[in-house]
Parts: sequence; structure tokens; C-alpha cells
Amino acid sequence: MSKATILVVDDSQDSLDLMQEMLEPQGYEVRRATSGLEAVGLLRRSAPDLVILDIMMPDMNGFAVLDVMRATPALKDIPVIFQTAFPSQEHGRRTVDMGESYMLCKPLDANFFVKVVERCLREGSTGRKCEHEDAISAD
Amino acid sequence: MVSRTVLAVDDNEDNLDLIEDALSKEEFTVIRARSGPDAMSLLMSRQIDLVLLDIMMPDMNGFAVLEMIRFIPRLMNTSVIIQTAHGDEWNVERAKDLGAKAVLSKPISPSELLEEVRGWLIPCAGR
Repeated sequence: MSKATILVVDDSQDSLDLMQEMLEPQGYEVRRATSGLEAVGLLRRSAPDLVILDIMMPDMNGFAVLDVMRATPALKDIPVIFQTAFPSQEHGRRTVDMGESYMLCKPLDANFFVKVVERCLREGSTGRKCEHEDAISAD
Repeated sequence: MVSRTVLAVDDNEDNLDLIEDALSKEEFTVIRARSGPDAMSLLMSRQIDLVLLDIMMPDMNGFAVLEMIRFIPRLMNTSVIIQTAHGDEWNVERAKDLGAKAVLSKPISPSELLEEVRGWLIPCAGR
């Protein structure tokens, strides 16, 4: 079985490098986008199995990318993981309101991150309560 | 008689009301979008003749909407008029670079708005 394709979206190259280094050794094919717009452009051309979205990006943030995905039939069921260096209650509330389960905080812990990715690919990212770090670690 | 459709995009309801009042007295149909993603869904699903686009919106600003319009083949030739708050002169250049037809300063003057929209859309011409 071929390994899943993951689109990582972040305006920081360092953050993209870090995620790529964590995901590629697991055998995933990693694609990168440095803005929300670039992400939407890539998504329109080919749909990955999972999208990892930074929340705070200029012009078009992670929530807007998810909004556009949910409005596009070919993209609406792709699981999404949010990540942010500046978590806030507002971001947490919006993540849950949008039906998503995962808002991870930077810096990302490699083991935890890989576990969340595996679970998301297996079970999707919607329709459950926002995951707490302990619940995943206890897997 | 088929009226031309204008998509007004703004996170401010009062401004959307103002635009609708100014344009719907004429032969224009006004559709409202309260966010960038809302605007993109409407653009993908409806026939829109002209877009009136606010710049400062949360999550997805007017520049991102404009850039996205430009890279979607079916939409790339859609006429776009930008509306922007005072003091954002640097915005004007970026908007023009992205192919905006005109940049209107807020608060929008209804007569100026009507004149610009008419200029780019002769009501019912060619239909």
C-alpha cells in the first residue's frame, strides 16, 4: 500500500522543514505550501490525504483555507490538523465550531505529532471532541 | 430583462446595506458575502458579473480573494472594484497590480459607486 500524501501549510520555512523532517521518515509524501493561497492552488490541482494548516498566516489564514476546502466537494472530506505558535481560546473555540478535533501547539513534539497524523489518517479529523495531548499519548 | 449581478464582499453589514441600496435601485442584482471564503463559494457557484471587494477582512482579506480569482480560469476575467479605508494608499498599488479596475475610498459615496459600476457594466448590454 502506498503511503499517504500530506500537504503542510505554514508561512515559516523553518516550520515546514521541521514537519517534513518528522513526516518523511514515516514514509509519507510531503508537499509544502508557504501561504493559504498557495495551499488552495495546490489543493485544486490534486487532493492530498491530509492537510496540516498553520492558523496565523497573512492574507489568508488557516481557518479561511478550511472554509474554502469545506465548500469544495472534492476537498470537503480531507482531514485537517491545525497548528499554531500562539494558541488562544478563540482559536480553540473556532476549531471546535468548525467541527475539527486537532489544534496542536508549536513547538511540535515529534512523537505526539506523528501519532496525531496517524490517527487522523485512520479516523478523520472531524466529529469528535477536541483531543487532549494525554489521550493521544496514552494510545 | 436580465439584470447584471454584482457580488458585494464586506464583513461590515452597514456597508453591505449601503452598497445594496445604491445599486439595487438600478438594474443590478446585488448578492452579499460577509467573508472571503463566502465570496469564493458564491463565485464558484453563481454567475457574477462584477465583484466589489473590501480589503480589510478577518481570516481572508481582499487581496487573497483577488489573487484567487486571478488563478481560477473561469473567474480570471471577472471585473473587480476594490473598496478600501482611508490611509491605505499602499493598498492601491497592490490592488492595481492584481488587476483591480478601480479603487474606491471608504466611506463609499453611492453616486461614485454607481458611476464606477455602470462604467464597467452597462446594464443588460448584450443580453
